Amino acid sequence: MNCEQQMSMLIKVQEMQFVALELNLYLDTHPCDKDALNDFNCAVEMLKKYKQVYEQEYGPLLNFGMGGYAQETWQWIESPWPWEM
Amino acid sequence: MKKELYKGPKQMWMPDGEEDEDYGGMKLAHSYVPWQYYDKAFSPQVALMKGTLFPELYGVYMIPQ
Amino acid sequence: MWIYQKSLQHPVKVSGPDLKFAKTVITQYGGPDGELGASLRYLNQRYSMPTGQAKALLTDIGTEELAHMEMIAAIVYKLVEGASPKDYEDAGWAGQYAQHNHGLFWTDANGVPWCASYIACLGDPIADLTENMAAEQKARVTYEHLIHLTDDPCIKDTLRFLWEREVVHFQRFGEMLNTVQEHMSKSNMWCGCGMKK
Repeated sequence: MNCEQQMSMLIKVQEMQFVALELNLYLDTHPCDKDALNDFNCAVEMLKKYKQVYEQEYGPLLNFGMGGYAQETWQWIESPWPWEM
Repeated sequence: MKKELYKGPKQMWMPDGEEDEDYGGMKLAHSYVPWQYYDKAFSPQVALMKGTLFPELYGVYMIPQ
Repeated sequence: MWIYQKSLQHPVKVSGPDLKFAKTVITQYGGPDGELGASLRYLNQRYSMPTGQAKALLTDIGTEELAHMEMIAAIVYKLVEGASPKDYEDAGWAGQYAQHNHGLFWTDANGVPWCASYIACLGDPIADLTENMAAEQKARVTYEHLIHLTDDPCIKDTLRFLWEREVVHFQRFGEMLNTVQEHMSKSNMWCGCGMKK
């Protein structure tokens, strides 16, 4: 089912986003932790890749210009929305 | 080992280095948590499932069933 | 300013409709220890924090709480999907249907609307961070109660994720309190005013 494939691609984004978020919060209270900084950058790298793969198939994850160039149609309005998935 | 229980006004605000070390750098009427130091991490899949990247922050409270 | 990412932080799945539980879990949407209160509390307190670290942490956790609010909304949305007015009535939630149909609204589990009195901002970093730590504990306990009130393993998984986030937030606020207390004693500052010895 199309939605299942979309969810299996999205979960990779969610996982890596979560790693980046956790390290972000950790770095807010431990700003000098070099290991955390390096791991954060690794997470950012992976997150970029997973986002690109997902967005190519299903459209932008971010709005207001943060999601890059629009394609021929305005994909932002497309379903499903997160609470419908 | 017996300490003066009364501290006069001149001892109330002390600059660094002159503080009473009996509380290990901590002050009365202040709360602290132990610092977490990041060493190992769960994999991204496990981290998202459990709700934290850090094994030492998982299980400090009993996981509700 | 805020940018919205078109994905939930963590997937939300329900095994089937359950309006009774929807009526209960909504407390984490608009109740006293819920995610709306948490996000507004932290996003508001950040303006009176003394250090960049504190401003960053409150911004970041406050933003994450908005994502958690969205997850609770998704749980409720899925639990009431396809429900008829009679289903609402049978669940003792007729008032919700009357006032909102399938729409969501910020109330607690007893229908009491969200109130700004649930949150505080004293403008004193120690008081505010301590309130935040208390808030995280109350949210953690509320999630425990909710997990006990459902048999749905999918919902339990989602709530356990949110439960663990409260534990992590408590640790972060605690670390920030450590830091802020040290900062304030070093600069002999008290509520932003210099103190003479």
